[in-house]
Amino acid sequence: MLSFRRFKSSVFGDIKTINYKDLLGYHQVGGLSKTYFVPRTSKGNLPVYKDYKRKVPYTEIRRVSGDLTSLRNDLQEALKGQTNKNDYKCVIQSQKVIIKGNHVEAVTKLLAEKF
Amino acid sequence: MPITQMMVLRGLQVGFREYSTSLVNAISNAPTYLLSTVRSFPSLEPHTVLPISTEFLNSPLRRDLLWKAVVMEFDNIRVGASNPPGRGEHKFSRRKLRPQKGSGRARVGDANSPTRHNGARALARNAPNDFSTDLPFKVYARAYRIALSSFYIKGHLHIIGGCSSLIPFNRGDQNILELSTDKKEALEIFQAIHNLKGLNILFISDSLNNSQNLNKAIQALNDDQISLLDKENVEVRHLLKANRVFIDQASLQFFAKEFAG
Repeated sequence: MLSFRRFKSSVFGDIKTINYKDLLGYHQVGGLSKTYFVPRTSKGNLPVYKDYKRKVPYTEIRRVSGDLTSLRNDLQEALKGQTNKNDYKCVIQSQKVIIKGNHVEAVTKLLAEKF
Repeated sequence: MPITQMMVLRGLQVGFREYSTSLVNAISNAPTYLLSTVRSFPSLEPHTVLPISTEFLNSPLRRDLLWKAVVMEFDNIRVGASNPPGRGEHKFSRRKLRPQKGSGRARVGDANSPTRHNGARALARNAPNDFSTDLPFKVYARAYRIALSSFYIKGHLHIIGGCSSLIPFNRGDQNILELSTDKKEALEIFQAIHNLKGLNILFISDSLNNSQNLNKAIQALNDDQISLLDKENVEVRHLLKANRVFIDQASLQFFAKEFAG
């Protein structure tokens, strides 16, 4: 029998025990249509990493679930003084945002407010 | 209000997770469930809601994984019946086409050479040829979930089932994929009422024995855009070809068991 990673919750839930706040679309009712979520790693850290490509540092935010471009826009707004809009790149396939330059500290601080 | 008090309050606000000002669209909890509507067939009247894990029916689109899954499926259905001849088996003789020297043209051997037009195949094979390829099951299962999710997100996945005592069924309605008659007109009316004319429709049934009337009606209609498949025979390529998917609850549970946690 083939087996693989189990889901965090069972596939079919019991409607009597589910919290309405855990439902898809709950935040849409509150007016947020393009939401995103960044889960913590198993060690309790935020998935923000520094990478070097051709000796240029890049900041990677991985494991983003939800709307990637929305996270990028929010980061662009929040880190206006430190980064240019051209420095940002969204990789849809692996669901990550890449920022040119080392902004790990600033991004981690920012994300820690929420996640 | 004294300035110190205001500063303290402002500090509290910044420290409080829900009132972060910079990440406007961030949510502190990822949604774990979605509420899908369970309908009766063929009226598609909603009867109950079914909470389904967002990991199962709300996966983000990954075209690369869908591509891999479909390529694997098509590789695996190849029969491999071809027998291209090698130069030893090819029709021409072993006669040298030109003398080795003196013609002023390039050297040639016989007409069977694979470099020649009408020549033999360089890499001859014999049937049965095995072209099947492998894909890690995790990747294939994910592709399956992505395919189903893309239908759900577009609102093109209709789940048939549900027997709530609150809403009685309409006349002729059932909670499985079955019509009350095997006449093709029933399907034509179904298409017309739900604006499905000209669309590729896929019915996924728990068991074809339970959908005999529907099966006969589809055969009578003889439209290659409408197909009925047993839950065990559905592959990613079938899902991707369809514009609308009608699936009964038992089949969805089967998929969840096979391709999800």
